[in-house]
Amino acid sequence: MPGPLDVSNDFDVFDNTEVITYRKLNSDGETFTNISPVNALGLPEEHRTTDTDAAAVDVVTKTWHLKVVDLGGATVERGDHILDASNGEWVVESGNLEVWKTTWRCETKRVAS
Amino acid sequence: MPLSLIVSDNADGSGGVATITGSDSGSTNRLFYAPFTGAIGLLTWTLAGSRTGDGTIGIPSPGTVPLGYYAWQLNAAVGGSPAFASYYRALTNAGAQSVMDRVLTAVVQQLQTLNLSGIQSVNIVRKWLRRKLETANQVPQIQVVPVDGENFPGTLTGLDDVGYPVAIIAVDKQNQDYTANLARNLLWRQRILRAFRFQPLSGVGEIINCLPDRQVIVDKAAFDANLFVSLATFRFISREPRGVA
Repeated sequence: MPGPLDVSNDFDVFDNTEVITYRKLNSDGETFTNISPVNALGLPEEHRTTDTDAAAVDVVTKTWHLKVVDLGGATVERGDHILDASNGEWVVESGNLEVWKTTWRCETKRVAS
Repeated sequence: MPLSLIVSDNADGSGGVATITGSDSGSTNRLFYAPFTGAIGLLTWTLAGSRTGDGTIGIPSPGTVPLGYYAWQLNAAVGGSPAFASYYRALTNAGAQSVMDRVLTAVVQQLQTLNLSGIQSVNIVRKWLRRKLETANQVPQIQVVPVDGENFPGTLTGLDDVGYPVAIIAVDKQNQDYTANLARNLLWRQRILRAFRFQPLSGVGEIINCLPDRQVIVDKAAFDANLFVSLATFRFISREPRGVA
């Protein structure tokens, strides 16, 4: 009996993955170590305006699914960056290891320009 | 009749009129003005005009007296003896351009003179709302915007003090870097705060003081949205006439 739809199981076959560079923030909080190539599936971008304490700002968010095996044991944590195939850069807000532990689900915000 | 001096403001940028009563008919009446800044120290008096006996003295602006807030003094003779009268009145263009409009413009101009590191003059702008649009706003940018609403901190006989709230926000990309531009941006804040707090506003005669209001050194939610946003709010206190004017 087939299980519930799990993107971590099917995106290799059915969706358009791209090769990204995962930029792991080092312990100094300043520099990054690049991990590449990492196969990833990026869901559509969401553009919205959000109210902050002192202003209202436009933000672009995107959810990524990353192959655990490609990260070579690195964990996904806030502050890491993703450099996508189009050289767009994203800051990781959170990372969740999905149910089969083969995929990281990352919530990201695009870097400001 | 006691010596009397009343200075009225044309409120259209053209100056005002001084009306003198109670002086001797042959008195040489001399009208002086001094910028009233609230700063400690002696006022510096300049002759604005003169006439013989009672009547009016025109005060054209900006030629004779620039727009601004002034103390006025009349030197005259009453009963053959020297006599003095004084008055406080701003010369404005309040009828043609609102005080708050001019405050926003003056704040932008003052900020441009600060030459804040990394901020181009054209990126210091006045707007209706504090908002960083994704691509339309070049950063670093400083936005000067009205916020909340006026308050009315004090009244005088025939004059009201009106507090106009103005927010100044500095916006830049930060991308959740916990140290980038720390020194530069804190210096921005210090220079902005010093440029405005507890003093009149250059270029807007009605503004007699500026009170710091709500402050946010770094906006956490904006930081999490990859931006640096720093807020300084000021309340510019304007002394204005009451009634239809």
